[in-house]
Amino acid sequence: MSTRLEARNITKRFGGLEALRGVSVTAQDEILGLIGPNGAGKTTLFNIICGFLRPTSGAVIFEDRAIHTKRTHEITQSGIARTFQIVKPFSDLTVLDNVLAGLGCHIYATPRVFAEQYSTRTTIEPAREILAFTDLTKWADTLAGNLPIGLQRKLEIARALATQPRLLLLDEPAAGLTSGEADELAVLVRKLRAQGKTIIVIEHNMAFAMNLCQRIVVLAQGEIIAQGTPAQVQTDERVINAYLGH
Amino acid sequence: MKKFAMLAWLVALAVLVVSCAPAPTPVPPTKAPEPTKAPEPTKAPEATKPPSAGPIKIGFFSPLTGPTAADGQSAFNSAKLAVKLINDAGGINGAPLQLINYDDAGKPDQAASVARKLIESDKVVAAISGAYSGPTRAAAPVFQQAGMVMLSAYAIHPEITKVGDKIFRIGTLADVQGKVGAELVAKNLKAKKVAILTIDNDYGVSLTAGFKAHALKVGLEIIFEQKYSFGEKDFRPIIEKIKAANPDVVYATGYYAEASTLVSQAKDAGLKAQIVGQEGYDSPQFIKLAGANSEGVIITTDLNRDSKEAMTQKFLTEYKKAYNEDADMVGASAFDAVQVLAYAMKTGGTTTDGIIKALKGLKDFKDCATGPFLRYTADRELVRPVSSQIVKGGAFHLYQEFTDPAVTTP
Amino acid sequence: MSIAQNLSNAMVLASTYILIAIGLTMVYGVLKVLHVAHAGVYASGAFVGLGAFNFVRPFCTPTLEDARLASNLAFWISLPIAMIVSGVMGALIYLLIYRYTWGKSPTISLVASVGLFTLIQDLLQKPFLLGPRQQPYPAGGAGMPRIETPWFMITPTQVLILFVTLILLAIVYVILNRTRIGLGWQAASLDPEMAAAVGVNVTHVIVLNFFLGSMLAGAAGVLVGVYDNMVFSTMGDVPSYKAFVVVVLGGLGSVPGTIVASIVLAVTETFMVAFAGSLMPRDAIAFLVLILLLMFRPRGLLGRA
Ligand SMILES: Nc1ncnc2c1ncn2[C@@H]1O[C@H](COP(=O)(O)OP(=O)(O)O)[C@@H](O)[C@H]1O
Ligand SMILES: [Mg+2]
Repeated sequence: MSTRLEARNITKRFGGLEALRGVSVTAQDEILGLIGPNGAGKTTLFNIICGFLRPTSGAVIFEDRAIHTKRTHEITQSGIARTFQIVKPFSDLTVLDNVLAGLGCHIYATPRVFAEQYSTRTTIEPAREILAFTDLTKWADTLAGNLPIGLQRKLEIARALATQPRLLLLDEPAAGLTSGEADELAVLVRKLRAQGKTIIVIEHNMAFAMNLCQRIVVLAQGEIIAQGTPAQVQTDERVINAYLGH
Repeated sequence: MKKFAMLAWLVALAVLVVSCAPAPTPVPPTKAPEPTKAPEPTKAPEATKPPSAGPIKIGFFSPLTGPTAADGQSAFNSAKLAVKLINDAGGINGAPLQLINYDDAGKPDQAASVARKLIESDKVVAAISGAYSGPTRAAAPVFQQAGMVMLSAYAIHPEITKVGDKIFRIGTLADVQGKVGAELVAKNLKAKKVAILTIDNDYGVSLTAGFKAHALKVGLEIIFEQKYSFGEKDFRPIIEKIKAANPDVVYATGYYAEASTLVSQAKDAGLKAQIVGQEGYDSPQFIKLAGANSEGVIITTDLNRDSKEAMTQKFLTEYKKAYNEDADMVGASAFDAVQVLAYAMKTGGTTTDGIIKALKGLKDFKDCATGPFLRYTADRELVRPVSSQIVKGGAFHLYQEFTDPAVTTP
Repeated sequence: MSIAQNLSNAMVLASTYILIAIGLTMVYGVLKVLHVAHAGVYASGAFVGLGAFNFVRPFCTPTLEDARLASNLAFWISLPIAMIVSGVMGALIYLLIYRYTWGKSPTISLVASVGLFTLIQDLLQKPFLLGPRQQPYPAGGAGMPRIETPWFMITPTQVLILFVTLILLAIVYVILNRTRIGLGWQAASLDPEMAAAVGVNVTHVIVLNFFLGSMLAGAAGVLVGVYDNMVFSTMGDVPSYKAFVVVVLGGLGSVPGTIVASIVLAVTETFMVAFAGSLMPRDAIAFLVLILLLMFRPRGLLGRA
């Protein structure tokens, strides 16, 4: 089992605020949970991994290559995709076009982008497969902005999958979902894991995380306060304090 | 890094913008030929000894930037030419003339501040406006209050000279030029029905007023009237209406840029009526831009290129020699303003009273490109001939000269 | 006769508005920057086209004894040159200026843009470029036919403008709606950060965006220069604000909206001038239309809510 991702000693300051303080996380081929109270720095860590933010210090190594100096689209092209805590589909594009945009990932850097029509057979079939896989087929021609929140979350995953990632970052994917929808989501995430993808899930919903993840890292006020199996973390005193104290 | 790069860019931009901004820039006395212009090969070195007294400073302003910069440049070039010729011939009773020039950018407020500068910092003895009516109207009161003579070279709005007893005009008053236009349309073209197009500024409105006042007397019927804005590029909707009204003549006020567009679009649309313009059309630019569409257009103007007068021909050839382009009415008027002012200073001295006295005594003055100037009226308007020219074979030629005092006296 | 003629004239006017305004709306769509210097690119395009035309024409003359043919050929050489130079100019404006101001306060971009526009105009007015005078661009109709019907007539130059506009719009349509980069552009204009997160190189998209938009502005400069037979340094003055009226009218960032708004504005202007006479200057009409529309439909004709 090789190390997929290693975040090494990451510190991130926003002006006077230290959002992350010397955080080190590694992800193997697994479903890794990242939990912690609001404002703990979880999303900030994702933003650093996917290149939206530069770490103040520290390094991010993806499959043995440093990526923390690369730009977002390069990081995506190298195999990392993400979803957002607050859903951000391309609201004026159809569901299908959202996925097609993701499917362009590996040719955006080549002159083929000019020649290749974005909905030829070679791209539309994989797109439909992804829609089928995420149960979105019947919404294919709906404008993404018109979907209910649960489906928008799925669409974000579908769009992320279209970039063919080996590491998938999910930021609170169950937020706003009914328990039925959350269960469906868990099934989907396990299927993705079964395909060999490494997955890091930020989750607020403890039960959901405990159930889904093989390993959990707990972040509070920019620092890791515990990590281990769900069982280990659940009984950790600092974790309980952090959650209650919040 | 990025921050620095951005800052550097903004600073660089700011510097460039400021350095290119239309800030008034005094030019040095124009005794030496400008380095960028073709030097005058045949001129002998200056014969006159440097006079004991310093140079006599006269102020000048015209638009050297902005949309009317071409006219401003033309006026400035001609004024410089006049100063050079005067200085080559010994200056004002031995003292050389020095032209202090500023850019008014075609803006009234800038013209007013330039006027103050000429009076206060440069301490000129008199000034010439090489500007349009708007800026000239703004500058005139400043000179009047300072008790300094100002000559308006080609700005023709009636209010300019009404500012006070220190303000004189060289060009033909708008009322007179409008009147001449109506006279021409009725008597020479024998037309009945006229459509009037007015450029919506001081120049156009005052010309149209003059034209309409006289049109009634000579029996013209005005069947259509419309205004348009300075810089108009699309006369097509108006032309459609004029076609429907079917006049014999279109009396259209404007400058050469609008005029060339108008006559070209009229030709395109198949408008048959004769187009009559004024001195605003009077530029080689009009013919250059309108090309064959300018053929047959008739204008009223101050400059008669076919004139036999020696000074007219001298101006035309010297201008062409100095600047390698054909002179226009604006330039001729600025040239004449310098000539008239120089005459006044030669005969009356350089005090305001002396200049005014000399100007009032001016009689049958021929040392000018657009003359002869018979005299100044009590309202400080020139009694002078008004020419009309027709475009033929790609050049302006004399169509008719108007000297009848009944028509040309302001 | 008159109404049909006015309509056909208005469509030609609309074509020039469309070509100028699309670049502006594309830039706004992605960067949310009011790109005032776009009008400078437009004037520069006219200048470059005229320069190329005057340079090439003498070479065309000896081979084609018909002067008309020589000038037509010179025009068709000058147009693509002007478009490419304008496109590169637009791309450079992004790479050298907006790339650094983007994401900062919008005023910084605006100030930089206005400064750049002034700079371009002042440079163009220098004697070694255009000088203070208007220069003719006598390409006529560049070989286009005259169209005469009982109701209206379209001059060869008008045919030329309509023809070139349609072709360029088709090209831009295909690039934006059929190619991969076009999808990337759409994604980036909806959410640049998110577009990067699906692998779109947003810088490439924006550079392309500036290139295409500026290319159209350059074409507009050339076509207007030929239409008015006049190229001058300050010819961008009116477009610098009128194109904004069009863009806001159409709905900021909406390309189809820009097209519709150009037509609405050109038709309104033409008929106001034709039927309301001297009531108000035509450029005031543009703002009146804008104010009226924004009162009832604040997001513009086809803008996003
Ligand atoms: N772009 C930013 N600028 C300034 N502060 C930020 C920014 N992003 C996040 N923060 C701050 O960093 C801290 C961590 O935020 P975040 O990572 O979003 O927490 P969470 O663990 O809830 O996802 C919070 O205090 C937040 O306000
Ligand atoms: Mg968060």
